[in-house]
Amino acid sequence: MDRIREINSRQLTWLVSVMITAGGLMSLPKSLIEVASLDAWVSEIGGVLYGGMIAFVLYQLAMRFPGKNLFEIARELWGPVIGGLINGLMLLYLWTILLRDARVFTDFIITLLLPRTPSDIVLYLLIMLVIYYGRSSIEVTARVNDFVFPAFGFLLAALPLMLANELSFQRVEPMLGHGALPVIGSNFLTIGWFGDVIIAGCFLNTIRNAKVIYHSLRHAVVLSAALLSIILFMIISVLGSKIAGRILFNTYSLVEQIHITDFLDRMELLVFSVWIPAYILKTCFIFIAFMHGCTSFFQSRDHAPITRMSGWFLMLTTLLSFDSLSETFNFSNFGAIAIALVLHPLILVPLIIRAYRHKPKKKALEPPDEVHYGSRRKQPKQAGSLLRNMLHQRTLRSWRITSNALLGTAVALIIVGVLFGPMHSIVGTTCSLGFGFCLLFAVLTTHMERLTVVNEAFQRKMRRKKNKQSDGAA
Amino acid sequence: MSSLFAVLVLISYVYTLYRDYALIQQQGQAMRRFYVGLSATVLACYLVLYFKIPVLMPSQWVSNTVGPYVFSLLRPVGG
Repeated sequence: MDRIREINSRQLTWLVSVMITAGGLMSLPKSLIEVASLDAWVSEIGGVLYGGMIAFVLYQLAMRFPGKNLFEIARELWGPVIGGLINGLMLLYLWTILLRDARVFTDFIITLLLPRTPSDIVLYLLIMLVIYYGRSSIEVTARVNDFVFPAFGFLLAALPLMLANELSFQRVEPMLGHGALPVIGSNFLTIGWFGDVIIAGCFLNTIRNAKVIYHSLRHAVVLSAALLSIILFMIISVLGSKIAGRILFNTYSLVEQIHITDFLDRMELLVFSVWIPAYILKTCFIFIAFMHGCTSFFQSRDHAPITRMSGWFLMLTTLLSFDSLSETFNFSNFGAIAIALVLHPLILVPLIIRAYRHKPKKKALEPPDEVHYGSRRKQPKQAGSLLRNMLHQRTLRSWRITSNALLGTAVALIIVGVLFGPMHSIVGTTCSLGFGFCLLFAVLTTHMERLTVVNEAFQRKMRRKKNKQSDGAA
Repeated sequence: MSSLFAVLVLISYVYTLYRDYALIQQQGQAMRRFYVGLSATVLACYLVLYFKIPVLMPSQWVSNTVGPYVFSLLRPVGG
């Protein structure tokens, strides 16, 4: 049970994406629209910058301590007492996130889908599932997510098409016409959700190459931001900001508006049959991280013996934690930001201070032993497509610069938009649309970053293997 | 907590103890102690819920004080 478990970069990306997006879908849109009204859909860039910063910190740690997760790094850097305290804070953070997610899920189900079912029973079933996944490893969750995330992402990305007959651009205008403060406020709120990227730190040991971790996390953050921006844009353009700001689960109301034909007017059942498994996987992912944290105190990676009891602990504390739906919403949207901004520095700053005394290990930049993506790496060169060849000829550095430039442009466009948008509506509209395009292109460029870093690692490994073979022959 | 749910949870708890007993015996002393502490906490939470003993959870404190404070900081912004 103590063997090293590995997932590949795509699986890490999709797990982190599902963690941010599925959580953000349920309760975040309401609060963002309450704060920023029409401009809520440009709220994700604050979260992207914060998530990117956490990804960079995790990269620095992974480079110095290859094959170790955040809990093990804390123990190694600060010893059992202070390291244990840092791990305790991380566990507290994970527990609060689990409470939030389990309660939001239960409230969502009993409010909209199963109003006659007691909330306790819904929670009990969720916990049973979480325990089932929790007893296995992160590999199992990652592989199930390989099935769920493509459908989940496709349904989110296809929303503009499915709701084309319902959306009205007039409901989104004037874009960026209310000044800087609403946009700053809503961007601040998304930090609470995108800060969940820190959970990937609990699985640093599952990918050995630090660069692969960094670029996977960058892509996950940008992809989640793009998906959440699409859904926020659709909510505002279909429901209008006033109605959307008052509906608790406005995502559900949005999906209810899908009427493709007379026969497909209950699309919400189909859509939620994909979204709910995605949400459950997100909860499982965090629960496994929580288990890793618990077992870190015994310097073990086998969490099977305590999984069941931890599941019941989570269920009973969730029932004790909130009295009403408004408490849950206050906690998940407004309390989460405070928790993230207090706990993240307390966890990461001590680690970074000590970690900088250690030199980056060469081993952390080596390719992983088990390459899941080997067969696909050769395809780009063989494919005759001009675009593909053009995309694959660029180096990692150039992709990174392009992504950073796109994200920088997105920030600059928002700044210009909020400054001049209230006076000239055309400026606000142009800057908003420019922001949207920058974010969508950044999804492509960060994806290419991830592919390039994996490709480079693979080619390095092949070269080394060839050299070894030629040395042996000589 | 309804009585049906209380029974369900109690059965699950006892069954978990029964199933985990052999596994926990194979672990080190620290893990065994942790398990005992965890199961005692679960039992305490169950009793608090069953007898409806009022407790203030940290999450409720965050919801009722920190949450509204952050909201009040941001709400005037959105109008």
